[in-house]
Amino acid sequence: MPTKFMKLGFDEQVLRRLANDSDGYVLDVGLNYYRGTPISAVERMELSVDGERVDDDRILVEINGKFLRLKQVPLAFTEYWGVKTPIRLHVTGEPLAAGPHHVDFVCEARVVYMQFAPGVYGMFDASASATLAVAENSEN
Amino acid sequence: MATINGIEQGISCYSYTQEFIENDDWSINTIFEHVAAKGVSKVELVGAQTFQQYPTPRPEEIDAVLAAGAKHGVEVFSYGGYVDLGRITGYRMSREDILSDIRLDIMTARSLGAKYLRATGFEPELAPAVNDLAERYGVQIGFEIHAPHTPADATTRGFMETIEKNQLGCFGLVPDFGMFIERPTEIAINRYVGLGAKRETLDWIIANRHNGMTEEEMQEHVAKNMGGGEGEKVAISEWFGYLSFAPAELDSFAAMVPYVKYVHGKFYHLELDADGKVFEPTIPYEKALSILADGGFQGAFISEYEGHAFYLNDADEQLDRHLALGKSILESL
Repeated sequence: MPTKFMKLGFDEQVLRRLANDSDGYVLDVGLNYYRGTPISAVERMELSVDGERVDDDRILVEINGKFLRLKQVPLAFTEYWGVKTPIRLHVTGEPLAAGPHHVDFVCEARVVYMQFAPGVYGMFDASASATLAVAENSEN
Repeated sequence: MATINGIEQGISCYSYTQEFIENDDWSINTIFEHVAAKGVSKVELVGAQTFQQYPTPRPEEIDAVLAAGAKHGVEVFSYGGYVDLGRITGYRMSREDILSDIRLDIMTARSLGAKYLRATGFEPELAPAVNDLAERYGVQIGFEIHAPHTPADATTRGFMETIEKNQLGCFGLVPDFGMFIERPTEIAINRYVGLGAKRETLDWIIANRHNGMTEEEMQEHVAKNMGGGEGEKVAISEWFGYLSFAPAELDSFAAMVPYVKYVHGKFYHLELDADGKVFEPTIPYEKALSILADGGFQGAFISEYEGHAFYLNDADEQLDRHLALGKSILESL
């Protein structure tokens, strides 16, 4: 029977860069996995900054030049999240104050090739937490 | 690498998973450079890892592999594919969907100049249709038999019977030596301890892995009755899955040898004994390799280090040890 729950150790590759943007801020996110995955395999993606959950409706996921609302992520089966290619989360609204911010990112996804019953797959956990600094006057 | 008793050693690029992922400046060119420095010219390349677009890599990604191969004298001997059955949320892939994905992998293998596609993700009844595709495109298919499968289980037998019955010329098997692992490596155990597992609970799980409990029953028992947490949860999951272990089914391996296209020399961590001699403490390598050679296997033996599970950043050293171990065993046969 295939592995049902996989947590690899590339956590430090996940939360890469936090910066202010023209309309809010952006977070670059790498993948904690040994291969890439179609982003449609992501079943849960949540973001919290400084202990506060960011409303899903404020987030746009940028992958391969496409912009997806969180609810659209499971539909995007043609978009591949390569293991060396970070995605970018755009969070609309107020920019962040310069200085350190604690980021909690939750990401759980199907292991797309590990099916052990119709529609039932192994899972991997690509979540990570880190403190990232927003630079003074940083913008994208 | 020299061919010894008809067997040539190669390396799976997957062995460098940790280095490839953790270092932004590592590319397939970097990996080929390391492989070539060992005198190895045949590699397996895993598409879903190497390429940043899969199952259809961008043309420039293919070109980069070909350029690196030409530069370092390295040949993509085999291309590792997948069938990503769960790619479309809520959709069950049809037989035709699966064959289409395999065809895409075959096309990539051809673009890379690979003779073999290492395939997974379908049942024996699809083998004749996959064989037809392989014949059409001039590529050989090796279906990977990987832990927790064994040489004697129903799936492996099903593939052998299908190959025999249909006289499939372009379809065979790729045994992964990880299926002969008899006990977890100490390093793996320490990793779970690092994740918070208690050593005595892990020892209990190892001792009871084959006591008849299902994975679900053991997860529940360890969590509820033994205070198990995250470390124990991951250990059980992996020990029932891709790091499964059991007494090696070597007797039945002999019957599988005639169907072997090439071999994955999977290993977890090679140690040195007091005399500085390399040994694999968890997989009976000498016996498994001798069965392969006695069965008349001629072809590639691909070293595949599963080191990324342990984060030791030591792929080069471990691959050197594995190549030395393989050479020493092959020369002694």
